[in-house]
Amino acid sequence: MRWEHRFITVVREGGHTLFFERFVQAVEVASLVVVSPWIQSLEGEPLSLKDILWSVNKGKVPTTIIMRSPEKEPLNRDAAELFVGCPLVTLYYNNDLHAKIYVCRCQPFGFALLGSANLSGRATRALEVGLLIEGKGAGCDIVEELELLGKDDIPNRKGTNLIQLSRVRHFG
Amino acid sequence: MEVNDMELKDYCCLNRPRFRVNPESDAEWFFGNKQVNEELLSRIRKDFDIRGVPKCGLIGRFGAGKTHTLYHIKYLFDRDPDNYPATCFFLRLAPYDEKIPDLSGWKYLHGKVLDALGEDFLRQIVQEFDRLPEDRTADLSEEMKNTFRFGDENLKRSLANVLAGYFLRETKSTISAWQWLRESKLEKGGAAQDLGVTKALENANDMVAAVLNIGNLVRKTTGKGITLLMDEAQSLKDVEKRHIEIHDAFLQLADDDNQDVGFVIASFGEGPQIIPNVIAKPDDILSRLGVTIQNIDEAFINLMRLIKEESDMRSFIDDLLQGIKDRGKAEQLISEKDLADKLTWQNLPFTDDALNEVVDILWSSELTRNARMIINELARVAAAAYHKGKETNEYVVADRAFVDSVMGHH
Repeated sequence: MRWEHRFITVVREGGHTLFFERFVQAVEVASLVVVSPWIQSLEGEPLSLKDILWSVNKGKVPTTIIMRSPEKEPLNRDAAELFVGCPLVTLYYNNDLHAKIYVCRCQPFGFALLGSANLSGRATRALEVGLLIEGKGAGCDIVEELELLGKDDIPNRKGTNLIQLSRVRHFG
Repeated sequence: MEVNDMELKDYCCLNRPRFRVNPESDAEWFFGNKQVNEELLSRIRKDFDIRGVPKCGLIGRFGAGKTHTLYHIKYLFDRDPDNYPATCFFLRLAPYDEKIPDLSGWKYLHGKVLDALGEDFLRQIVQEFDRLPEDRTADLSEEMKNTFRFGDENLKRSLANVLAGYFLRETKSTISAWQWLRESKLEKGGAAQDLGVTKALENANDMVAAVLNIGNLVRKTTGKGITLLMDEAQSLKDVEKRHIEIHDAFLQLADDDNQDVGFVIASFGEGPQIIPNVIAKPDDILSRLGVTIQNIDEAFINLMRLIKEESDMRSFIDDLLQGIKDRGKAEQLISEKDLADKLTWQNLPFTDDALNEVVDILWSSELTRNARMIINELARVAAAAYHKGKETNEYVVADRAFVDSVMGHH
């Protein structure tokens, strides 16, 4: 099979851990998109939300987060506080959200995880499944489309509310 | 409609789901400085006259519109075949990495060219060639071989047998044919015998010759050439070990002897040094394009100049906003929300002075003087106005103060 045809992998365990381990090692990251109804601080997990945001700050990565409001989902409260404290994060709430999409645009090509796992500690242990898509060959357009879903489509839907606009202008 | 119930496309009265320009579906637009467009088209027209097909390039910074311009060329060629007699095929040269064998060398790039041409096109050409009056009673393979002008006799014979044997009728799988065309290993057994080939595409010269011969076939069949629109050529900056092979392949394409397979190469960056060395050095390729390193911009059009003055940026914004707008919906919204004293249908949701302010802010940094950044920032401000409007269920106009608050200008 040719190199660019190997663009998709079924992920049966590890879910978002796999995605974020790659994210923290990625170079020239142009953007990070996280769409997950429930997001927790991931304390005690191999990579906590603080670790992820440390990488966001270090790499000055424009980041878009879409989750349910902590008023409706109190489990999201700690994560929401962390996001509001990060100037690189544009944060939206949508209480109808059920999709779970993670996208990293970086060099030489981006990658995305589309699956059942929320960004929560429970998801690292529960039975989850996902597709890890590499932005090469036919995967290039899929990763781009998933990024636009997270940056353009869901944010500009009726049920989505902007909570924080990134305070940093993006050149990427 | 209540603002609460709107999505961004309703709020901005877009004729599309997103506040975006798509290089492919919006290919008919050409934004920015018209002189650059004229220079590009003038070069292409001259190439048709002198070289038979376009042989030139585009350079520009990140977001300058290289991909869009390539699709615009394709649009023009499709729309006006009398003035631009070539069929375009788009391909991305990136990624290129000599640490990964599958991602380097001419064989890899040759595979991209073949993928861009595709099975449907090859079938169409072979079938149309078969329908030419002079071929009706002749041996198709023999007639094809006689049309080919590149490579040795064995290569011409083998290519003719593969095309005639596999692409005329849809009765058997073309996998073996594609394996041969790509210079992949043939399956064991009598694959080579079944294909009727007497040689493999042994090196980059053979691969280029095969493509040039396909170009001969296209010319004979349709009267047109082929133009390869090669995007992301900056990835060839990393060519080192395979320099000689890839340079030689481009040299064959650039050579005057080839009048049927052209190229427009788009490369990221600015200035003459941005042309990858594998193309620029030695300068025998450039000389075939009629330029030297000193006047390279006559062959490689610099898209930086698309927005070279503030007025270009403003006219880009005006064209963009008008192009993505549904006029009927915009006029209705202005009337419903009683916004006629603040907005025009073209500018909505921005006031005129807000757009001047956008230009002022974006013009202040070279990093933001490009098409992609302009679109991103306008979309960001429009989305911010939309979300603010939803908070209060009032239509928030993006005026000068609002632009300052979102874009951080004081």
